[in-house]
Amino acid sequence: MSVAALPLTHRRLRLWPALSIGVLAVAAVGSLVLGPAGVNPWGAVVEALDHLPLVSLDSGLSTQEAAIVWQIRVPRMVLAGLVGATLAGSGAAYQGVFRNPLADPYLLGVAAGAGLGATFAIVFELPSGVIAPLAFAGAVVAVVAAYGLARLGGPRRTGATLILSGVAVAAFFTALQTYLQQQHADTIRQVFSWILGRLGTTGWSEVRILLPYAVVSWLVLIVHRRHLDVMAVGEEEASTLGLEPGRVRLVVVAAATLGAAAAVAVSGLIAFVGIIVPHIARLVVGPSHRRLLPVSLIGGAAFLMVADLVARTAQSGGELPIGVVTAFVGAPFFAFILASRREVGA
Amino acid sequence: MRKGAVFLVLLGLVLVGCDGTNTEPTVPTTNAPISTTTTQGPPAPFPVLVESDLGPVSIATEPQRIVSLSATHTEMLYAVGAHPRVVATDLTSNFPAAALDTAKLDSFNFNVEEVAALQPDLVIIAFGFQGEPEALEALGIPFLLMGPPATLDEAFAQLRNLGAATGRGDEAIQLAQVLEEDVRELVDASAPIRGVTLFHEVDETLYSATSESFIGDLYSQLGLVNIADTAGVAGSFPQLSAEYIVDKDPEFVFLADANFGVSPESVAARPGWGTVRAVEEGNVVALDGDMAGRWGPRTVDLMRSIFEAVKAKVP
Repeated sequence: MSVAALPLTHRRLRLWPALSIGVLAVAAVGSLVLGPAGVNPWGAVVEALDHLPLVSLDSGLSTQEAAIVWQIRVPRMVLAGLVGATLAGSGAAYQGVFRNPLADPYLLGVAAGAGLGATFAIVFELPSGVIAPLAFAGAVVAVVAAYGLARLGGPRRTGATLILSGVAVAAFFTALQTYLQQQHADTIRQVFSWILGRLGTTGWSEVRILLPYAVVSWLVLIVHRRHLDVMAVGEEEASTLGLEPGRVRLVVVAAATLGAAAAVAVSGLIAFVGIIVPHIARLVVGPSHRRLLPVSLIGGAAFLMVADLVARTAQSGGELPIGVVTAFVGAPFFAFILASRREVGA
Repeated sequence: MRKGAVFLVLLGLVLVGCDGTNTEPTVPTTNAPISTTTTQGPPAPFPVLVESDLGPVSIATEPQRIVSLSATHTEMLYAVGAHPRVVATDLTSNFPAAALDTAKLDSFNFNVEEVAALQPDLVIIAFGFQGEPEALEALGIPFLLMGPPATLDEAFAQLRNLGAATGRGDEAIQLAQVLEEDVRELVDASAPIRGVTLFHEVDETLYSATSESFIGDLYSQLGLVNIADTAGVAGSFPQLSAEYIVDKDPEFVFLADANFGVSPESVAARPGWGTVRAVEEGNVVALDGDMAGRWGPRTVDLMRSIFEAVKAKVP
């Protein structure tokens, strides 16, 4: 997409934030009213509204149905939204800061570090409340290690050095994780359960853990969205424009990592969201981070809500692994967007 | 199925016996029978043909160096009195306690050289996904693959086969009879608890087991109604959604993951689970994780504990 083409499509671009909010709203209502329990849809909506401050309504649902709506469906929907937004926002930020379309939130070792932390907690049979903090700690340690390793390369460190350090750290942490897992094969099932993602058994407590990290991460990324646009012209060019690429990179990576680490810690490794959603967003609103970041955040939330809705309703009383759904729904959708954009853009 | 398997064993014995031109005189076993049963019959003749998951296996002589790479089969070997000839067991073989004193192997990290170094003349394995059968075959080590059964009857058939393979056929047949009798008594007494609904939890992410599974067979024999059967998910071990479980409102929850930090308290604390009858009425039952994952002689104890837990709460 050339810069010259932008003004022509400007008006259409303005529609996208509104449209993505619309999609998010539909996804949220769908998550609220659909499910194997067959709760009266209107009752489910009223029950959810009843919990808003200053609202008092009678949903007419039984205690059990009310519990299904407010303690199972709503927290799961909210968590899917938070995780989806955070992973997609982090993915967009990583791709921008490294100017690498294949970057995702797990690039610098977040997944490997979180996996190691969680595996450690599981195989040594620590209390289950320790799994999320250790996963978070592992993710942060991995990224800090990647930064430390890149620094060894000397003062002239670039994004490429950092990516390579991240690859090395991720490989090392993955090796440790695999070793631990193999030495304690009796707990292998739980390790895999964790890795496959666990939106399915979450409640408000996970939402409370993730929310502060997610919000801080989003805000920092939004604030830096123009800096990311400047970075896009190249690091040397950016510094001639008065930007410190190293500092911007550090702040953006720190914020993206913090969010991704917290998301992974509460929900396990959910692949694909962090890479596919920003690309879809880029295809529809263009490369400028001013629009790309907000649309990625909102689109990520909507995308994971829909994926989770599919995961928990496709097999009536059963559950599909969320990662299977994100790829199964996301890949064809991405292909569709790619194909339709080519027609329009040609 | 069970009868078929027993028949095969007997057929094997008969065929061996009918071989007519038996050149070797019956060798008296040096091992006196350990069991206290009154059987005075001759020790099972070898060679013997026994069923395994890979088809019939001929065992030439009474095994003197047995390696069990499966906790279930370690329990069976001890129960039929073959244990004096067990030279090594796997790390998960923790019952009976004496099994902890044998040499130990890690069956999850199968190493055929480690096994060969023990010079076994019979190896029992419950799984073959690490290439165990091929590796043992290549080294000419006799082995039996006896994987998880789908029903109690199949488990008892396995017990008989293992007994026959280790020269403890009579003891195994007697033990299986006693166990079958116990099961029959439990089933006969199950009338008051039939129709009670349950959720069986395999792990914290709500994997369950349907009546098609071995553990599910225990519940269905007792007439209990398993909510996993109607979830509309293929396979014996479906992952259920929390919403489905809460909506089905089971009267009992049985935890097979109590060894991994799940407890009646932690179940009650789960979002939305407070309204489930099993939680409200204090009917969340932690099963013995070892027993729930095995299909040895103690399976009947597990079945009894399930029966008694439900019976105690049903008027």
